[in-house]
Amino acid sequence: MNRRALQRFLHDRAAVVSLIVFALILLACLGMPVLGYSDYVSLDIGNHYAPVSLTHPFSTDNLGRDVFTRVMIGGRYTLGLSFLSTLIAITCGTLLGILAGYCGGKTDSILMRISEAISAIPYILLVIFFEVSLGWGKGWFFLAIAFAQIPAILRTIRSAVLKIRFREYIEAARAIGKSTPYILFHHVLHNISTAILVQACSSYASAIISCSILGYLEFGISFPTPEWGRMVADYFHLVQSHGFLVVIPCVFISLSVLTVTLIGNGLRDAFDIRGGSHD
Amino acid sequence: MFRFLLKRILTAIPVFLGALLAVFLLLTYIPGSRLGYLPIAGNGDLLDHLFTLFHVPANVFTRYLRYIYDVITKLHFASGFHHRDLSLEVLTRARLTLFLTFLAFLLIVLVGIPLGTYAAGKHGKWQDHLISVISLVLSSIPPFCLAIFLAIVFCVTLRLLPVFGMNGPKNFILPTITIGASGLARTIQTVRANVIEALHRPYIRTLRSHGVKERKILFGHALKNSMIPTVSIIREMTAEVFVSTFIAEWFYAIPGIGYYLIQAVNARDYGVVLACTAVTAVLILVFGIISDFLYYLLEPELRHREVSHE
Amino acid sequence: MTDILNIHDLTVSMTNGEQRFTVLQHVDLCIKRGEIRAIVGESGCGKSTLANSIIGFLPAGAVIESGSIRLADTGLLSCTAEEMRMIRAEKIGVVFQDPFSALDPVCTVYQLFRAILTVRKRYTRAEITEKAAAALHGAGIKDPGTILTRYPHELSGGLRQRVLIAMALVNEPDLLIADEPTTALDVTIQKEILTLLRRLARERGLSVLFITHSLDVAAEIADTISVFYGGRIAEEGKISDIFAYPIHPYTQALLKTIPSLSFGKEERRLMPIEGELFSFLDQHEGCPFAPRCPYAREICYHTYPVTKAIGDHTYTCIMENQL
Repeated sequence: MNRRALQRFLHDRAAVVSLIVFALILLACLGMPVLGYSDYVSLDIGNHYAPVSLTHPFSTDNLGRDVFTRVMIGGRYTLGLSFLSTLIAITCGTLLGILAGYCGGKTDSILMRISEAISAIPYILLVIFFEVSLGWGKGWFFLAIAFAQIPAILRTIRSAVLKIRFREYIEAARAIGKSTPYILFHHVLHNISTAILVQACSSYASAIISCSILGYLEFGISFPTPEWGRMVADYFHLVQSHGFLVVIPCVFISLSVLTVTLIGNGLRDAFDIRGGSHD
Repeated sequence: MFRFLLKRILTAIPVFLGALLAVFLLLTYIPGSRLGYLPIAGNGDLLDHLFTLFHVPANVFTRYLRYIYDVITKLHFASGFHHRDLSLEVLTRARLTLFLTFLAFLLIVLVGIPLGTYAAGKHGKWQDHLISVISLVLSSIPPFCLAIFLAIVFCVTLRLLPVFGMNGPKNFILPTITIGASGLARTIQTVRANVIEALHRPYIRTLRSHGVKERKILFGHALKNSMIPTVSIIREMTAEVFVSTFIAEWFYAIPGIGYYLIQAVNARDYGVVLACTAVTAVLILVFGIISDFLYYLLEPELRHREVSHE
Repeated sequence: MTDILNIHDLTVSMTNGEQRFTVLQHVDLCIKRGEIRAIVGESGCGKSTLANSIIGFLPAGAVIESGSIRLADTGLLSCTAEEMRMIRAEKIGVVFQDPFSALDPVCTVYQLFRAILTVRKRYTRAEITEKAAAALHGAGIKDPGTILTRYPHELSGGLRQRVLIAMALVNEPDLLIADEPTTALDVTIQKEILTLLRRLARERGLSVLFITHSLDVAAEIADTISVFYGGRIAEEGKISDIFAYPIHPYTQALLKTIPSLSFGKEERRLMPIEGELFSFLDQHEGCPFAPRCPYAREICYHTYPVTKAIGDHTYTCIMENQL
């Protein structure tokens, strides 16, 4: 990140606030269990719906488990698995996108055809395929999320590559006999790195949504791990009497997605990358 | 026009067959699948006669052929546990899902496009900021969270709308919003960005220099020039809207395909999964054909834009 | 009242976010009914700002500091946005520089005419077709009927510019503002368009404000010329006077940049104007041309000279008439 882009990013109030909020959420998810909020399974039926206190900042649930701890542990799963799937998707998507953009021709049209086909499948069905073929409840669903993300990433990276594909410095590098891998890594990858970063943010945001949806549908991690979406499903029967149990994870999911999106938008504006639809 | 439609439908058929083959093979080979019990023989129909005539051995491919044949001739999508025939069940459910999805797309198109254009016209003013913020927030809330927020506000607190049940038009309000919200937000953002860009083009200045009204410039010219990216972004949304429909069905206990599918997945009833997947594939292909057709209707005018902007 | 356009003491300033600078300073300009006036100057001399101030298209951040603009009897600067819109619809026609992007690509020519004709009142389809066809015919288009059904990208640059001229004139305005209408066109087509504009203006008694950066284009079309430099009028007069007896050093320099067909003569070589292009960012009190002027004296940097006149030939330079 060059200095001017950094300056522009720091002047974007929404992006900076989002960065702070998201960092706090992340820090809490990673750090809180260390600070003693680590017991999310032991039941204390006598102490259900305990008053809000330092030991129970978000009260306790119907079985007397500390909600705060459950949310923080749940965040580790939701945010972590989403991150993992985004990482996989970005790696594959970038490689394929560079391949499509740089090679062009038949490779390009085949890859585009396939990615169109994949993006026409509702990813719930993809998840079912993956879970069915790799075994249920083993957490393989993050692979399906990653797989479903690839087409969008491929398209973005491809158009970013196409924009610089015929620039003079690439032609020049070819003319002086640099090898294709050298050009791809030194020129192409270097020049689209900001586009990758911005795309990673938006992919991460939608991965969080997908991950929590799968948790909510009970397709994801199995009981008793408190993944955020799963928590909503588990507490849903209490929504009328104890709405906070459902609302808290919902708020955390939405807030994470919103902040990641805003960070992505801030980066996009800072790097001056315009949306995909128009060049 | 007729030729276009015919061609489009014909190209959809291999896609459909391929998709079914993938699901079919997958579900056949997983351990413990009951798809093995799919009937290999019909009740002495044409396919049976052909099989016996040519001494076709019974294997997975004849089973697939039998399956496709049953889908086409009897709309028999699959059998559930105990060889229960699911065709009627799946088709009634599909109708409901189709209706919900249609409502959501109506919301996306009829609200999203005007609102996005309006925001672009008020670029930089408070109306624009308000619409942008709302659409940003809407696009960040997963459908089931939105459903919960809506339920708490409208059903628990305000007691205005029912959450569950299928008693009348009121029951469809919350599901439609739940399904359409994120697509709506994305449509607003896309339309807004494209219209703002169009407003900076020289031809808009020409129209302004002739005293054409700002509203007419906005909706008649800037929006018209933004229709290609708008239609394609709405078209790309189909899969996502179907996922949202499934979730809304699950949440509001609407007996559609999605509800059935999720139930079946959790019960590991692969016959139902196959049936639901097949029907979903049909629905998506139908939506694809409809949207391609709309694109085609728009195209004679819009094609010119792409050429002249090179 | 024979003046169709009367600009008096117009000063316009703009901002680039950090500092404010004046792009037009105390500009006085009168155009008589039926007169074709060319505004000549290099890019960034304020000539487009002048056009934009007349039609109310100043960009955000631009401020009219002083002065008045009168179109016939109407003071344009005191008009509301809505009044300005109607004036643009009825009284002023505008032709912009680039015909390739000035026509809405998704509308047929007929639809464009419908859009601009229905600003004033409702017309039937037949009336629109009739009026548009007449206007296109007037603009020298042979078969208006087929052109009306075409999309802009199906037309050549020259045709597009003719369509734009027809559009500008279809509501029979009093004043036509043409902002470098021929710059983007081939030389041969450029000539046709200039001839067309001149003929139309003559036939209809139309006043034209023709903005261009080249003196020879101005010479082909205009009756009178205003030479702009650095947001001020340097010299103004009949075309014959300006070409025969240029007084302001900038005009003289401009005349030397016109290519000539008389090869071989050493002294007729193209003469570029020395020095850097004028920039509004380093303005000083005196004559804006002083830093590039071969005759500049100390005083030129401090005081802006008064405008002198010989008949209707005016110039703003401390130099005396050397004739």
